[in-house]
Amino acid sequence: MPKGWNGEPMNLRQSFPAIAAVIIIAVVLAGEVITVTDSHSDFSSSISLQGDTVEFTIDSKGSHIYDAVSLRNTLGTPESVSVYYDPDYFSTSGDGHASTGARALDEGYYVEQIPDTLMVRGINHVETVDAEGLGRLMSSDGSGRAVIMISGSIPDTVYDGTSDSPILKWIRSGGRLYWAGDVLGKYLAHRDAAEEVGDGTALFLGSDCIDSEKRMGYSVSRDDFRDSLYILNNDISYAPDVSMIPSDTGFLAIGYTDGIRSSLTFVECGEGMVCIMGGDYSIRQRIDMGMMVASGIGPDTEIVETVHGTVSGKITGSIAAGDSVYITLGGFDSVYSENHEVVRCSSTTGDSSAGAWPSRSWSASP
Amino acid sequence: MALTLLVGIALRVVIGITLEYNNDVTAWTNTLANIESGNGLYNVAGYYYPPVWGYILASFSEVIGFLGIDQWSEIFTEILFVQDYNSEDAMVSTPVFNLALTVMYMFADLLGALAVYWLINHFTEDTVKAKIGFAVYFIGLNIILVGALGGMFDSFSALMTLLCIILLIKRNDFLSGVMFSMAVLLKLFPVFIFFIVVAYLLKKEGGFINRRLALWAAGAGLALLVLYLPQILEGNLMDSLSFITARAGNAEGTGNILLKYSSMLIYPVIAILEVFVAYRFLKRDTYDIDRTFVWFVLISLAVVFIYPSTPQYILLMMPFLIVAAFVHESRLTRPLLLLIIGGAIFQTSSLPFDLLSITMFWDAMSLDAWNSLYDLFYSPLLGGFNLMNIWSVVGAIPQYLSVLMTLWIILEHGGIDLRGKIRKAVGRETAAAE
Repeated sequence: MPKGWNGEPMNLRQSFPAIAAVIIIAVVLAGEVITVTDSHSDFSSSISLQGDTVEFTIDSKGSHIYDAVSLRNTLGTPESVSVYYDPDYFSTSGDGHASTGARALDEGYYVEQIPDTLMVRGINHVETVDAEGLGRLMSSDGSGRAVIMISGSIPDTVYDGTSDSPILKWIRSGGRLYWAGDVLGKYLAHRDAAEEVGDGTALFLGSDCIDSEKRMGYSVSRDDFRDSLYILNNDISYAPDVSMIPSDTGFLAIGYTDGIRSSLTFVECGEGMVCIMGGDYSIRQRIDMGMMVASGIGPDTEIVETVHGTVSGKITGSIAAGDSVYITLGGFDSVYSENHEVVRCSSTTGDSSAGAWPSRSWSASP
Repeated sequence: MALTLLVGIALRVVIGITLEYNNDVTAWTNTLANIESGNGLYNVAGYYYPPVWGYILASFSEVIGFLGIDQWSEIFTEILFVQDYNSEDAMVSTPVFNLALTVMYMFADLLGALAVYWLINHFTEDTVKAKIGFAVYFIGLNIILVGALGGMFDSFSALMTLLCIILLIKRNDFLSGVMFSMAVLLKLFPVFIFFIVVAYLLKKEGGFINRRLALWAAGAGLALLVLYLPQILEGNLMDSLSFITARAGNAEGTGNILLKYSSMLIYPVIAILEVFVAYRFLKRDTYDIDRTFVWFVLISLAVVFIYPSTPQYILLMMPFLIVAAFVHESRLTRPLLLLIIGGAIFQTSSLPFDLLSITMFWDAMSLDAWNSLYDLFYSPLLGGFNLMNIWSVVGAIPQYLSVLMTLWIILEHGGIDLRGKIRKAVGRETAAAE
């Protein structure tokens, strides 16, 4: 018979409560340690170019489904990401839907979550800018830069309701605007109020193709993108009617659709682009946004190939080469993703497929 | 007991792998994704409870990772329309994930059933009664459904509360205090037994300055600190309390506003009643303090559920009702039966969603048949109410009656002749009318 701490025979029936309590305490404390120590660096991925194919390696903690998505005509992961938030400026967006018992999903809380959302997708440097900061940012060249705006209205430091507004010049110079919260271009925000801009949407998208009606998408627009990238949000309110976008303007509509509008729409604007994320604030919209920013998808992006499988530990595979490979783990419950750009080096010997560079140096894991 | 175990396990496995109410379970898959990705419990939205359940989920994530459970949920476009209705969801957890979750709940149920066995056996030394008590808890349909079908973690709450009480009886005060804090930081309702626990230690030892109370408080305090340390360090303590603050703060629509203000009024009243219950316990002359203590714990918990509850919350009262039915008052078997029946009906009120797993993953039910069932449950029938509402009420009535009947029996057991008082009052009314 086993002996207890005092050397006397241990009666299991009598010791049951203490044993059960110790088991529970162990499970809870182990979970606490896991919660604190789990991190993005528990996962990693890399690619290398081998002729016309890319060899990818994924290292995963635990067991997860993965998708390696080879993309062509991407814009690349942005070099800098800024989020606009100025509580002193008028915002037209309303609170999103929050579950019973959840903290209210207002603009401040949404903005607070964006850096963490991007961090798990390999983007570590995200700055929050106020109206003045946005003005300074948009007075320079937009190439390679991304700005996320969920305010529903655009501050008067960058927008005056004309096509010469700094925000439009910035986008046309190559900037990427990720927009959510209300009708794009419709509201010009001042400190104490917002004013309506007639045909404001047309300044960005070439036509007045967005209205305020609440809509949901019940079918999939482009199965390939939705199934490879696990797009979640089906709210298509504030999304553009793509049939009204001028024929000489490139666009890509993916996610969920009612046949006219889609939950994610990328529209070209000069050298840059606008990505409109449909719907009111939601967890799913935020996750989709993180993925769109990190993957560098733009109006001309196409999927070359998707490789799907399960990873537990380390795995390698190969995929047809495009411009980048976006690797994601966990499917609809995404635990990791990372964008890797395929860089073809032209060497002195004339070998055009001498190598590939992993993703940008500031990504969390190469 | 072997047969009970076999039946309980078989029922859980069958229900777990075929049926699941997706809404809460996909909240856990979202929480798991946040934890694994490095966002912890509160960095991003998705988890709204105090931290203990999140910690249990984190341990669970390691187990399912080890077992090779690689996909947790899927969104089915065919049922996206359901997201227009309240908070229903087209995301459905996978059968293998559901089974793993059910097995985890099964361990909590098993330990809970053993705790019920321990208490009955401790007070009656009658192993037959103890085994029946074990069986009622382990194969109680409402308990099985809350975990295996609803995916809710309230059996952990019941288990921790049970252990808090048993460890106190066994004079293991420090561990009891730890269990108390864990139970409270799991789902808050056990906080209402605080007064009766303190009263027990005062009655046992006499006076506020006693070693046992100090040890219990040290265990509770230390656990509170350790469990909340990450939130204190990261500065998101308030996020971990949104389960309380958001319920008191956000309310839209007449129903929710009524719910908000009624709960803001009723819980302080319940707290005052709990102090009164503890006072009555202190004043009670008893030859067996431990036995009376368990009886008063049941009273404390029955008082909490005067404010009507969903079938998962009330699970907290169930083990103490079973123990009291076998140890203190056999008439309590009637409210016990009502609780099991009412809770089981109430738990299945979202039947179409419970059947999503066998429809979408198993193809055991056609999508057309599922759509017809959905229409049947969610189309308005009577005065704007649909079958789901009616089904909920049909389950909620016996469940609530079980609370009222428990309180009635408790009062009668305490020597209050309620029937006589009512007869007298009715007689007086009749005489006055004549």
